[in-house]
Amino acid sequence: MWLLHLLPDAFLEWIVNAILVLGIVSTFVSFVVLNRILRYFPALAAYYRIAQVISAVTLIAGIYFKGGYSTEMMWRERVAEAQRQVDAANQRANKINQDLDAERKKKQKTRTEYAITVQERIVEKEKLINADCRVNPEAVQIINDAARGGPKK
Amino acid sequence: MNSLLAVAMALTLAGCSTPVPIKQKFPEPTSTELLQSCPDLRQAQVDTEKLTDLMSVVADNYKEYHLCRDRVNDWIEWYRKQKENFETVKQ
Repeated sequence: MWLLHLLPDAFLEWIVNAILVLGIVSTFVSFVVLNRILRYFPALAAYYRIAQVISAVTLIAGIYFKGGYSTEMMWRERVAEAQRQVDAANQRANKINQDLDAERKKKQKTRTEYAITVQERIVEKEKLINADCRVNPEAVQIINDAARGGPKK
Repeated sequence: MNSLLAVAMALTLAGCSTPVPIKQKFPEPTSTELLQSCPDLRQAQVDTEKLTDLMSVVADNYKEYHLCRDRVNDWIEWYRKQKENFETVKQ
């Protein structure tokens, strides 16, 4: 219950335990002990039933609140555990991003450097390659058509 | 009296709700390059007669293909690893 979040845990526990203990003690006193005391204090006889009712209600309330408090604490623990798992997953996700970025940059650098060496080789052997070969314009057109990859959608 | 009772009931019922404060979000890729689409292939000059000019264009296009292929494979790898990590959090 979100209302319980407004109170500190220790204070809440103290209140709940106090009500429960008060309920147990007052029930015991009113149902077991009081009738023995009434022999010596007949003036209290009028409050006998009221005391029993109040103590029973206090005991029931104490048990109810104790149950509610335990459930609330169990729920909070589950939420805290789930939050820990989510935080750990977020940290791992960041690590995955970093590692993949580093690997990708390395790969990209290797590819680009290799492409540069290929171009340099073409320049180096230019005269040799072009000596016995003249490219037909049709060949250039066909290569360009292939590079276009078909009509644009 | 009725309005007071209505307010008291609303407060009590609101206290019964238990909002779930945790939301797990699927991560975003940090690299902007992964979000770039692959460029168009280069074309050779139509009036060229040199084989080396053609080879240069083809080699450059091969490079672009490899870079694009790496990008696609990196996406697949990124998604696979992040999904695996995402599913480790038990609901």
